[in-house]
Amino acid sequence: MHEDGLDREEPVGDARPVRLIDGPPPDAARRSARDRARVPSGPTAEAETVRQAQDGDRDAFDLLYGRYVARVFALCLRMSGERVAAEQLTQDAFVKAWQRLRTFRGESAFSSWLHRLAVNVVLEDDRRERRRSARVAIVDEPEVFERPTAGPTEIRLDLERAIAALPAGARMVLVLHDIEGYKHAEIGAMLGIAIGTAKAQLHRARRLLREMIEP
Amino acid sequence: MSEHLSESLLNDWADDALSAVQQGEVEQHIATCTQCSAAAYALRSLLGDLHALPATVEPPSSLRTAVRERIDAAPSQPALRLEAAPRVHWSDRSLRAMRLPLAAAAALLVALSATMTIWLGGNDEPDSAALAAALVDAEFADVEMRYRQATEELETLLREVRAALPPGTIRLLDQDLAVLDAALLEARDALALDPGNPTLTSILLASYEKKLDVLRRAADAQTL
Repeated sequence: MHEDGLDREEPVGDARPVRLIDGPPPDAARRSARDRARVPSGPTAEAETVRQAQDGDRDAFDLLYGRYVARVFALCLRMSGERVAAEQLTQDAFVKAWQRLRTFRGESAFSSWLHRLAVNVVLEDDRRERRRSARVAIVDEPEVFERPTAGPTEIRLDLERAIAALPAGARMVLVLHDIEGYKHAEIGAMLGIAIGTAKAQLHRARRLLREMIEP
Repeated sequence: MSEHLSESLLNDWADDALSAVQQGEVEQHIATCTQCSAAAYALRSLLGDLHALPATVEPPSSLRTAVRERIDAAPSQPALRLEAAPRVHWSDRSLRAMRLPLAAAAALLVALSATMTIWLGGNDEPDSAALAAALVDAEFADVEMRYRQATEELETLLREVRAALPPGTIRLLDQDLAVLDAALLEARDALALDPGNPTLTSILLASYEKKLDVLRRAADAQTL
């Protein structure tokens, strides 16, 4: 797993939870950076914030939201390939995290727990969506992923756009493996596919990406 | 290696997933084959670009308010945490209290079966599945709490009588419990990441049941 960029930030400011939702919203990016800086950043301090949130402290949970939302949003955005869907999925992930917080026992890092929960939210949504639309994107037949959704005229896309243009199943495997750092066995378990299928999907996703971004 | 490298082999090479010998063979081929060299360069370049993507993307500021509103509107978290659960008094060192978690687990497994039937049956009513899952989740927390209490009580009892057990029994008991505790930890971790998963819930309960059985037999051996 790649290093979480958030973890590299220096601890700054008051370690106590501060209500951050009320009041006029300043510039979003500046505020997010400020929020992350205010979150107690040592493992013990964060554990205390998590414990307060587990006891129902919404302000403590708000601090955790401020620290991790950009990471969760990036994951949802890349896995779904759609900004509007990513916003909804990010909401769902944090609401679910709030509701399930009591199941977190601190045996792993909170960021890992939250991240995995967000992955599950995206995958559950994808399964619901596929059931609804009666189409199958993640199956044990890698040939399904041969077809890129981007046409031949849509070459030279930037990388993010190219990822978003991948077929859903291939995109999820690529994001989970090459960006999020999950191993094939973990991805296979998450998606309910064989390890060999996960690898085959990844190789095809990379090939499709190269075809889209290479001149 | 005279033919061109396969896509799979090239990807495994790029992921450093080959043995040292295979890695060397691939690199030797790349050094002499223009076509494979170009493919290898393109693949490594792509992976470099993917790894360099930013880990964070700022969401719109309105998202925070939306999350807060949904949390405020949602039912509060159950105040009970497992660690704070009231302890069951282990009266007269009887093992009859074991029947409590077993009965509750049986009821939960019935509920789990119903949930799995809804899921596997492809029911197009997600609300029904969600409702069933929520019910199972609530029952699960209760059942797990009882299992934890029961195992803790038995462990306390065994600590008291441990010295009277034969050394071989103690050794076997410790080995079994270490394996079962590892299985419990793994199942709980998996369930924490995928809460409400019926299969994981069943696995966790089965692990508790096995641990209870080991503890029960050890306690029986001493108290009989």
